[in-house]
Amino acid sequence: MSKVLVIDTSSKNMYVMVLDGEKTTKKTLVDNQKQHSVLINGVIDEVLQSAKVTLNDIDVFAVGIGVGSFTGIRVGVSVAKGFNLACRKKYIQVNSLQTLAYTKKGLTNCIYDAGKGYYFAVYDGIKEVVAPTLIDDQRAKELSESENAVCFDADADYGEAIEAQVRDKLANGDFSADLVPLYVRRCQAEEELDKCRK
Amino acid sequence: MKFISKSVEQTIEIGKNFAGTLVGGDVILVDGDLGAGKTHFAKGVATGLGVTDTVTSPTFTLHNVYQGEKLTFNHFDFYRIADEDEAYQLGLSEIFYDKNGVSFVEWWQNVEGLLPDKTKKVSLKVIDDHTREIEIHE
Repeated sequence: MSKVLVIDTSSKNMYVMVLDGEKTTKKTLVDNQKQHSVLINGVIDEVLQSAKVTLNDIDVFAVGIGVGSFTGIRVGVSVAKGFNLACRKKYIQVNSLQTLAYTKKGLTNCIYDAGKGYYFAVYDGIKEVVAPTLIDDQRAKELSESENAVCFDADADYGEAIEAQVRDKLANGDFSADLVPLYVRRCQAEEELDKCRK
Repeated sequence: MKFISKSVEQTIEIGKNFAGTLVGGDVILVDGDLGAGKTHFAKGVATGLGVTDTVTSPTFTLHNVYQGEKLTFNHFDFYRIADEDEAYQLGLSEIFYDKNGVSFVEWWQNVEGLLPDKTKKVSLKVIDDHTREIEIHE
C-alpha cells in the first residue's frame, strides 16, 4: 500500500498528513498564514515521527498547488520538490477548488475568493467539469446562490476533504510528473472585452 | 481635503492624522514628485498606526513591512517594476487584499491592473523649498 505525505499550504491553514493504508496521521495549523515557511518542516517532521514513517518510506507526495495564496502555495510546493529531488517519487496535485467539491457529493460549483474577483470551477469529485477560471463579484454572487455551490470559508477546516481528494486520486492513479502551481487567468473573452472598454 | 505643510514635522503630523481614518484592507495610492515628502508622509501614517520602527524608502526593496499596533503597514514602491506580471510573480499583489493591514503604494501606476477596485488617493505637491501641498482625495 502506498504511503502518502500530504502538504497543503495554499490557505492560511497548514495541513500536513501521512496516509499509510487505512491509517491517517495528521496535523493542522489554523490561521497560520505568515508562519508557513517558518513552521512547515517542523510540522512535517512531527507528523512523520507520529506516523512512524520516514521520508524514504514515502511513495507519493500530495501537494496543494492552489488556488489560494501565491506565496503560501509555493511554500508547500518548494518543500515537496526539495524532498523529491532526493526521493524521486510520484506527485498528486491537490486543487483547492476541487477540495470544496469533496465537502459534499455530486456536481459542485466551487467558488474561492481571489482578492479581485473569484475563482470558479465545477467538479464532481475527481472529475473536472468546468476548468478553473476567474469571474467577477456579480457572477460569483449569482453562482453562490445555486443549490450545489460551495464557497471557500477561510475559517473552515478542510482536512477531511483534502484527504478524500488525495485518497480518490491515489485509487485512480491520478499522478503528476511535476507540481505546477495553478495560475488562473481571466478567460480570453473577458480580457478582450476589457481592452475594448479602455 | 487639502493641507499645507511648512515642514517635515508637519508632513508627518498630517500623515499621523490620516492614519486615524484607516481600517484593515485599505489601499492608499500615493502621488508626488521627487522630494515632495512621500516617505515622510508614510512615516507619519506608520507612526499613527503604532509602528515604532524606522520607516525608510522601499525604492530598492519594493516592499517594506512593519507591524503596527493592530494593523500591518505595507509600504510599496513600484518604481523598479517593469510590468504587472513581475509584481504578481513576486507575490506582492496579494498583500493588497490582506484585511489585517493597510497598503501604502508609491508608483502605483506600474501595477494598476492588480489594485483593488476601491482605493484611497493622496497627492503631494512641491509649492516651494519649504512648502508642500498635501491633498487627500475623498
